[in-house]
Amino acid sequence: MRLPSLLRRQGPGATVYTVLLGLFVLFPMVTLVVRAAVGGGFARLTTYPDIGKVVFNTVLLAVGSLVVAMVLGTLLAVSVTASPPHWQRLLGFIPTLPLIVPGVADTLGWIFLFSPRVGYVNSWLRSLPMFDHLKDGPVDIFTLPWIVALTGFSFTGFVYLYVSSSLREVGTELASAARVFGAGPIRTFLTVTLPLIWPSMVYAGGVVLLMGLGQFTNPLLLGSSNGIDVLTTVLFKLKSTYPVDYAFGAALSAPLVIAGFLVVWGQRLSIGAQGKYQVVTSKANHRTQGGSRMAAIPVLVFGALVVLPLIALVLVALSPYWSGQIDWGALSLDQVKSVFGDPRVAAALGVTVRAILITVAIVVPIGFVSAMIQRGFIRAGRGPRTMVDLLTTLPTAIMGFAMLFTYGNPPFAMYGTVGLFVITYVALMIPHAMRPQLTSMLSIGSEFNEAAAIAGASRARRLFTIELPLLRGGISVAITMVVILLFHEFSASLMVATAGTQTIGSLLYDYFSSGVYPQVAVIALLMVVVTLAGVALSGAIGTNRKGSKR
Amino acid sequence: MSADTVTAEQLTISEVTKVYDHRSGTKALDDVSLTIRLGELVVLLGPSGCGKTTLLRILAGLEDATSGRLSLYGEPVVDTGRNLSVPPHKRGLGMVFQNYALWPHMKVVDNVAYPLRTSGLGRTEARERALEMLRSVRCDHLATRLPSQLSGGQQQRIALGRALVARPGIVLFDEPLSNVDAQLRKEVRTEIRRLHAEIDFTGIYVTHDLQEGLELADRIVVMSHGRIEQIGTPEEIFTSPISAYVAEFMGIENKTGVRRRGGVVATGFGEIEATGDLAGLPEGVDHDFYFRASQVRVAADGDSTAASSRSGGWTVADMVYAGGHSDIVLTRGEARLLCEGTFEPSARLEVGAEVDIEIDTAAALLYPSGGDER
Ligand SMILES: Nc1ncnc2c1ncn2[C@@H]1O[C@H](COP(=O)(O)OP(=O)(O)O)[C@@H](O)[C@H]1O
Ligand SMILES: [Mg+2]
Repeated sequence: MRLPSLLRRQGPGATVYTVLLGLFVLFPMVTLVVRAAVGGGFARLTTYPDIGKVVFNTVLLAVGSLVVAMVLGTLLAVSVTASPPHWQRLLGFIPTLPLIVPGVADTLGWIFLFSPRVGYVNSWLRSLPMFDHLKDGPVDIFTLPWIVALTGFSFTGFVYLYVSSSLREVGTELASAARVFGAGPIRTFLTVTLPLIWPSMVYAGGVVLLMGLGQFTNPLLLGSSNGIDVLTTVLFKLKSTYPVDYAFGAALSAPLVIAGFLVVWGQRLSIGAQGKYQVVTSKANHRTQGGSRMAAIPVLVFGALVVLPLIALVLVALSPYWSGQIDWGALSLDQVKSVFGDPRVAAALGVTVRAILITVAIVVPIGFVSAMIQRGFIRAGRGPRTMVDLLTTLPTAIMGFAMLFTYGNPPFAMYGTVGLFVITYVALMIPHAMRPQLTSMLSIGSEFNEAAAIAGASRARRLFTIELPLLRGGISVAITMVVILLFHEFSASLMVATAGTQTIGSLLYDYFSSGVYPQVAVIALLMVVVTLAGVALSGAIGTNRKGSKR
Repeated sequence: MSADTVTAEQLTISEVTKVYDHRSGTKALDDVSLTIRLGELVVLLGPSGCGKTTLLRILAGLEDATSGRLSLYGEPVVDTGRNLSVPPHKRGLGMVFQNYALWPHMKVVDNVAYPLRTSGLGRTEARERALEMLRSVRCDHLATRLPSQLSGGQQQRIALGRALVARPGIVLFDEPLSNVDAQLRKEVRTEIRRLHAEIDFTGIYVTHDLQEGLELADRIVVMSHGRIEQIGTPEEIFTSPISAYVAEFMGIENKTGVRRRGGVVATGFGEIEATGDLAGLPEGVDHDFYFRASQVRVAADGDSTAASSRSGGWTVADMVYAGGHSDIVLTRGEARLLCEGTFEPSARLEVGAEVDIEIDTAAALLYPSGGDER
């Protein structure tokens, strides 16, 4: 359906917006690709000694984690659906936990559990007769299979969300019909349910594949000690040497940028531009009884696997040092106090908070305009839409590198400034700032605006008295999302950080590299706490809105 | 506009055409012209999809016309030839929306005060006048509530108050009662008529509901496929539909193809005598003949008049009690007719009885066949 004439605005705003977006998104990407082409970067690729291995690792990580995430995500979605109805609300929440827990914190927790020598679980296993002859292990988390498994695990929540909302969309009726006609549960799943949810699985799969190709945190934290590199970690090493070989870095990034373009293009072809932002309306599940308690088991196990690393984090944070043994008597808050007394932490917190505040001020309005464009309220042609779509596909680490390279160097020369973080963060956060606002726009009919126009309100007056107040909820959620995502932002921050200007994420990595694990654990926990508080806050906003509006 | 504007025309629509989809080129409005006079309550009537809403939204400025001109209060506001289109907030209209469109974040009183605030009135004064308006629609006790705390009928009254509070000369209504349940509908309808008399505005009211249109209108504009089919008072429209299309829309129950040959007329249920208006049919030309159930009666012997034709061999297929009368379904082979009967004990009919009928032909509705097939 076409939108009413009144609501399709065209004005200088759209142009300004397009230019801004181009500056934040297209310009860095273009300079990157151009630099790769003209700076001889592509030629350098062939001479890099381990390039074959790096590409192999990157692809293996992407495909492997895709498989893990798809299998686990679908299994969890089906498990939730098959479990007793009155459990489903709570159970349905569990698989989304990895999306909430900051990735670095999770990975660090796993390291504390499964580091070959001093991981808590490894130490405990070695106390069993079966493994008591070992000096380390039996599990070595710093290996490729573990990197793949943990990365896949962290993507599971994402696949779960898509598959389960699609399952809800499809409803239970069609499957019940198949059962009535004599198909067994497995046959029903394979012949009825799976084909129906297939499109959303394909979409989720495409996104997960991209995320896997650009994955940075896990290979960096888990792969470095054994020299397991992927494209993004090579890029990071490049960034840490002087002078930075930007042409080579650009050439390393180019394949991922191009993969992003291809995925956006593919999605355009398969589901159209609007589909993926559509709010999923859930059909009521009429089942009020039945379901199997056994079906809940995979979900509960998954939940335990999310919580376990967090427990390890807490233990390390409370210990004077990390030894693999838990010395209950030595646990104290000393490490926590020392972290908060640490001037480097204070400085990093200062930079983080400043960068976040400035970013919010810039990116939330951009997200607002983006949402208006996606909704069709502003006529802006195809350019801006495509750029926003591209943003969602570009790996964070690559984005960081492109920003460092484009804006860190002359003529912008923002290297070492908070401004460089801000530019990077703005680009990263545009989709996240847009989505909640778009969701709330989609839920508000255009007639409120029209009624105000008839009542004599000018466009500006409508914006301030009708549109913004109605979108308050969406805007608050957007702000909260941006704050929590940036507070634990790791990959891009690491790319643009300098020794003098650190954010909390990049400082975390510094401490990790120098082996002061209790401090690392405290900082990671701080990220978790801030994130959970933010999620609770935006949850409260959502409920509050539902309570006061219709 | 000056008080001594020579004409009492409030609103003039000239040759307005609207195309939504330029690829298919389908015209949602096709060359519509209409003049509405001061103080009239005009109902735009027609089935869903005929372009009523589109026309109303073009009047309001919510939608742009593809071509055509429009003037309000004697001032041009749309002229596609001159690229003129006054934005809605400068047209000085009121409007009641189908789903109320009360702003959910404002209290009832602020919703109603809003049009006054936009015209520059201070907060206190605007609220005072809003309260006055709320009293007039009997909702002043709801002033401090949020719209979500109101019933559908209450929301509709408040939407009415909001549309009228700034005393706009012209008020538009887009099917305002379609979301209100049947009992309340009648009540709000009466309310609209009362306010129209009291406040004295020119109203344009869109509906697809015939009964609603007939009850409310000073004048009815029947629309079809983006065109105006007929304009007239409710009585004119009801008694003399100008085309088969309008006749259908008026819910005339019986229809048959007819062709006169001499003193007899061939119908879908055999030949009948060419009485009344049937006698005036051109020879040998196919027409459609519409007649109401009330124009058919079960005949006693020797009952024929000069302006009615008899047809025999009908069977009573069903009888439904319908209040003051009963609806009788008659069949004769493939043909079916609806007839209104009374419950006179002497003339008591049984299902399955064979009867003759008399069809009133004094004011017959006859339309050339095929001419109106669209
Ligand atoms: N926003 C729109 N985009 C495209 N087509 C529309 C739009 N609004 C109405 N139409 C089409 O224009 C025609 C008239 O619609 P409308 O004015 O809503 O009719 P009514 O109000 O009489 O039901 C219909 O065929 C409808 O499909
Ligand atoms: Mg309509």
